[in-house]
Formats: sequence, structure tokens, C-alpha cells
Amino acid sequence: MRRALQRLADVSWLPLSCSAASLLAPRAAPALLPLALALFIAAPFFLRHRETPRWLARIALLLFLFACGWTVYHQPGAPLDLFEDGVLLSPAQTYAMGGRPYIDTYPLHGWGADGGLDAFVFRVFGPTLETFRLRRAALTALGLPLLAAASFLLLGDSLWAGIGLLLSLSFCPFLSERQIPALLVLCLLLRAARTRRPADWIFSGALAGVTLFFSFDFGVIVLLGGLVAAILLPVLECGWCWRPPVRGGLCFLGGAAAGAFPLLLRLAQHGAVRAFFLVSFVEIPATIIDTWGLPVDSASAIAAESGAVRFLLLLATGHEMPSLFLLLLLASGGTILLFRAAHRSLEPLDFAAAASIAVAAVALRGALGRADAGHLALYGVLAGPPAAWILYRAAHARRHRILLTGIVLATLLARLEPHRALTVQWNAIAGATGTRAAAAFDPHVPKSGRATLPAGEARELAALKQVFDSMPPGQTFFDFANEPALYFLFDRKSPVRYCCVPFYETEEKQLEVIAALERVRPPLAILAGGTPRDAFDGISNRERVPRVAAYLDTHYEPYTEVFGRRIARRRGP
Amino acid sequence: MERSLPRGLLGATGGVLGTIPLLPIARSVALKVFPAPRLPGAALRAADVKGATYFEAAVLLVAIPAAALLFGHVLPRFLQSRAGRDRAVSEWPGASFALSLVLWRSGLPAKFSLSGGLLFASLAAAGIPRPGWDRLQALFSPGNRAALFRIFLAGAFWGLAWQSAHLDANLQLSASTLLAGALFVSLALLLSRAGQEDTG
Repeated sequence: MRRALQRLADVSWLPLSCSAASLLAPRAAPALLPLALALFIAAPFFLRHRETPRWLARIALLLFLFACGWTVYHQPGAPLDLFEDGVLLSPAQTYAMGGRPYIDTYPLHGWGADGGLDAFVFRVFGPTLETFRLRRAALTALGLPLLAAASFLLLGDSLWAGIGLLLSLSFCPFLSERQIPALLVLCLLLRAARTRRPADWIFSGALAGVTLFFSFDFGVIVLLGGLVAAILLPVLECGWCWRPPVRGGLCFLGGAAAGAFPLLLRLAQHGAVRAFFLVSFVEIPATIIDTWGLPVDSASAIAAESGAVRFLLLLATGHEMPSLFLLLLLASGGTILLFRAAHRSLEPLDFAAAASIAVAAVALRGALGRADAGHLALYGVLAGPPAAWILYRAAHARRHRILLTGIVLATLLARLEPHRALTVQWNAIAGATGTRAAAAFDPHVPKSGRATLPAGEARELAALKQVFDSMPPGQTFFDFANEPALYFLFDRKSPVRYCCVPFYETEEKQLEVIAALERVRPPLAILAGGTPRDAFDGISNRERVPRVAAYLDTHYEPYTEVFGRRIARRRGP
Repeated sequence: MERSLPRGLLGATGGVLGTIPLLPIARSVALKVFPAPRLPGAALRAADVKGATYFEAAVLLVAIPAAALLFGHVLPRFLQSRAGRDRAVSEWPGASFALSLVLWRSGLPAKFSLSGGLLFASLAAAGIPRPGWDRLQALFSPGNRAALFRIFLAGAFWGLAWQSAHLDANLQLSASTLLAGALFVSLALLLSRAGQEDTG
């Protein structure tokens, strides 16, 4: 009986691979799924004398996770978010028309994430919405296997890797492509923290250097987190004696420099190195909090003013202040680490946990900056592996194991609701093919390729296109409604380098936009979109950039209105 | 089977709780140091200084593990090795430090609460020779209950009289703090004497 079960387990990678293939190619599912079943039954007899390598099962599992991600994120009929998607598509359009990064564009999230990668992919596969969505789905789908791999590299066990994955998804049910390079760096960092081999530090540093150019904020997070880990680990290891962290830190930094070098060289070819440093390290840090920051409750105010029960709940679970839970979780992780270091009982997985906590702690800045649920999820995902490690430590405590595990588990269950995350993922994966099929009959729009859009959105865009088609080729319009995707869809180049209004709130940037509008003189301008994007966070575009608004009032007159969008035309020549 | 609290838990928990009043201090310092938002946005509308949030978070991230280590490991080990205290007693400074949170939650300014917590922790570290859980249990033994009840009544009635006097809020606060401190010190001395009598 035991041998038969073992044999079945040994061949489980076969049905898993077939199931993954059926998710990747749903049309072949009617053949692949019965094949999976047949292989599961028959393979133990054929392969009984062969020992199956364990890595086969792991690869199959990672492939299956990728396929799950693919089926969820590949939705060629999803609505197009004219702002969120436009932040990527508009710079890609500018690059396609000869624009230079950081000079003709203003990549807030990073060169690669904000159009750089899409510009490259568009050159190879054609500039269509279909290409954009395929590229995005393929990249985002890597998130699930990477999260599982990170948890596995931290905890060294498949079951615990699953728990880590589930906790990560409880923080962030749906992943973003911007997280992907950072998750890859995290995997390498965890490996480096476990092995302490210089080569691992160099590789993780190199990829962190590359990440800085793809997704700037995540690049900074993994760079700082990795550096802190490289410095901290030797100190923790020797029980708080000071040992200069020369080797790990230098290897990591050297790797980062090596990874960044080719991309800096590429920027140098565009003459954009200075602009990159200026935008990324001076301008954005100086304005981002003012323009995009969302207030977050003060922990001290809540602690001072709340009643006794609420206060206890707050301490235990971060009740009513989601980011506080993250803080308390990471502080608890830090406390456990310090105690283990003081007792000289650190194991390799604790070193990996230290690296993981360092990265998640740096990411708190993002979660607390634009403090909404979306950004808490975006950055909070990095706290999933440390949460799993805390549970692991409780479950492996020498004394009071049941009590400690119960407390940690109850807190995680109450606060993160992993069971809900599992249901959400399950439903998303199970329902994805149906959603895709239902959207297949939706209309196409210009530059959409085989991708479709919901009928209502397609109608709006078709009507808008009619208006903008009246402009001669080579001329463009100005978007003051924070819908930069329109530049891509209507094949026009943005007259200014900023995708949306909050990017140019400072006095000098408003003057720069006015100068650009004077130079290009766009015949048409969308003054308002009639959507909440006219007033991000309740602050209207006019309030954010009064000088530009006044310029538009002076030089443009009402022309027409299309589905709530107020379009104006330029007065005079 | 040993039925005691995990080593360091009492001290660490007390230390962590006692550190919480550090948060408003960090916030008020940060509000003076970091600039207020200038550009239009949600932060300006809410007059939210993000630097203060970050500083508060950083303090929380650093202070919680540090306080836990100090009161749950470093200080107890020091007291055990240098002053010959037993394990449970060596964690009393941490537990006493938690009083700073009680003081702060009852309205005392954070810096005074922390100072009070440190004072209680120092008293606990210096003033109690060898009391343990058994002494605490002995305090509540049936023979002592009548006396304890009378002390409690006296304290409660004193509090009632104080409240009915409608004094200045700060004065009320200081009095509450004094009362709490006096009770704590009395308790510590009582236990200490009980320990000496037992050993004597």
C-alpha cells in the first residue's frame, strides 16, 4: 500500500504538467485532462523501476502555478483603464515615435515598467493592445511561482512554501507586473542569505541593479533591503559582535553596479543618464508624497484615543489600521530574530528570514505612502514569507509549541483571512476561461489586434476617434483628463512628457508644460473626462495645476462633448 | 512538567508595552523636523506630514524588538548574573516598565509616562531582593484578603472624593499617577519585606 502510494506520488508531476498545459491552452483541455488522468493511472507501472527526480515535481508545480497566473491575468477582453494602462502605453507610444527616456517621458514607476519594456515588445510583435496584454499576462503570471519559490527558499519545505504562498496572496490577492523582478531578487537574496556565497550575493545584487531600471520603487526596496541584510547577517551570526560586513555587502553592491551598468550605458546612448538621476533621485522623491500621498492614521493617536478593548485588538491584530498589522508583524519577526541571535540559535532559515524581513520593512515606505488598500497589497506581499516564518518558528518552538502556534495562527487567520484568499484565487482560476470566452465576441478597437473591449467602452473610443481623426496626421491633442492611453489608441504623440496632471504640479513643471503646449500647439485638448480621474483623491486637475488650467482657458474654446469628455479646440492659429 | 511562563516573555511583553508612549514623542519630533506638504494633494488637504508617519513606523520597527530584547533578555541576564536574582524576579523591571503605557493611556504626557515607566523599572530592578510568584500568591492568601479589601476601599473612596472635588484635569492626572506609583511601590516593598521575613 505504502509503496503504491509512493509510486503514485512519484508520477504526480505528469498529471500536474498536463493540467498546467490545459490551463495554458484551454482548447486542448478536452484532450489534456483525460491524458493527465490516464498518465496518473498508467505511469506507475511504466516507471516503476525508475527513480523520479524530485526537481521534476517541483518544476511541474511551478509550471502549474505559472499556468494559474496566466489564465487569471490573460484577459484579452478586459476593460482598458485609460489611466493605469495609459501610464504604460503613452510612454511606449512616445518611444515608438523616437522619444528618449526621462527626457521625452517621465517614468514614475521606472523606465521598463512605464513603457520601456512595452516599446521593446511592440517593436518585435507589433504595437497592439493584444501584444500589451499578452506581455503583461506573461510577466505577471510569473508572480505565483516566484512567491512560492521565495517561501520555499526561506523555509526549505514544500508544505511551508504553500503556507507562505497563501499568506502572501492573503496580503495581495492579485499581483502586479512591477513586483515580479523584485520577487526574483528576493528569491536570490534568500538563497544568498542561506548560503552566504559571494556568487549568490553578486547575482542578487546584479538583478537588484536591473530592477532599479524596470520598477524603480521596487528596485530601491530590494537594493536597500539586500544591503541591510548583507550588513546585518554577519552581526547577527556572531551574536552582536561587530564584524565588518565587507564580503556580503561589497559583493551585493558590486553586483548591483554590474547589473545597472549596461542599462546606464543604454541611457547614455540616449543622453539621458543625468535626467535619469535627476528624475528618479531628486524630483520624484521631492514631490511624490505631496502629489500622490494618502494620509494614514497615526498609530500613536489611535493608541491614545481608542477604548481598552479596541486598543487590545489594535495591538494584537492592527485592527482598523491595516498598515499597523504589517508593522507589528515585522516588528515581531525582528524580535524573534534578536532573541534567537542572543541565544546563538540562528539557523540558515533565520538568516533568510532576516533578509526577507529587511526587504519587507523597506517596502513599508510604499505601503504607508499612498496608503490605500491597493498599495498596501502591492508592497505588503513581501511580508507573506516573514509571516510564514513566524508561524514556522511558533510551530517549531521547543516549549509551549501548541499555545504559540495557536496564537500566531489565530492572529493570521483573523487578520489575513487566508481561507478567503484561497477562495478568491480558486474562483479566479476556475472562472477565467469562461470570462475570456464571453469577451471573445466583444468589439475590437483601433490598435487592439485580436484583443477586445467591452461594448460600451469600444463605442466611446470609436466616437472619440472620429473627433481626433479630423486632425491631420502628425498633429496631436493634449489630454488634461488623465487618460494617457488615448495617445496610444489614436496613434498620436503626447505633446508633453507627463502622463497625468499630478506629475507637473510644481511651478517650474507647469511652466514647462505651457512652453511645450506653446511649441506644439495641439489643435484639440480634452479638458475633462467626466470621470473620477478629473480629480484624483478629490483634488481637481484645475486645483492641482492652476497655471496650466488658466492657459487652457485662454487658448482653447469649447468644441464638442463626447461621452462626457469635454473637448476644446485651439483659438486662432 | 514545568508550568511557568516562557523565559523572557513577561519582561519582553512589558518592555514592548512600555515602549508604546515613545510613538507620540517620535511623531511630535518628526512634525517639527519634516516639512508639511506644499503641493496640492490629499496630504495637503489633510495636513498630513508623511515624514511623521515614516518616523513613527521606524521607531515602532526598531523600538519593539530592542525593548523586547532589553527587558526580556539583556536585563534579566544581567540581574541574574550580577545581583543573584531568580529568573522570575529578573523580569519584573520589564513588567514594571509597562506601567508607562498605563500612565500614558490615562492621559499623562508621553515623556512623563516613559520617565515614570523607567522609574518603576529601576525600582523593580533595584528594590526587590527575592520575591517570586509564590509571594504574590501569598499576598492574596485568605488571611490577607480582609486587609486588602480595606486598602482597596480606602483607595477607591479617596479616588471618589478626589473626582468629586472637580480639580484641574492635569492635577487629577498627576494625582492618579502618584496613586498608581504609590500603590506599586507599596506592593513592591510589601513583597520585598515578605521575602525578607520568609528568609529571615
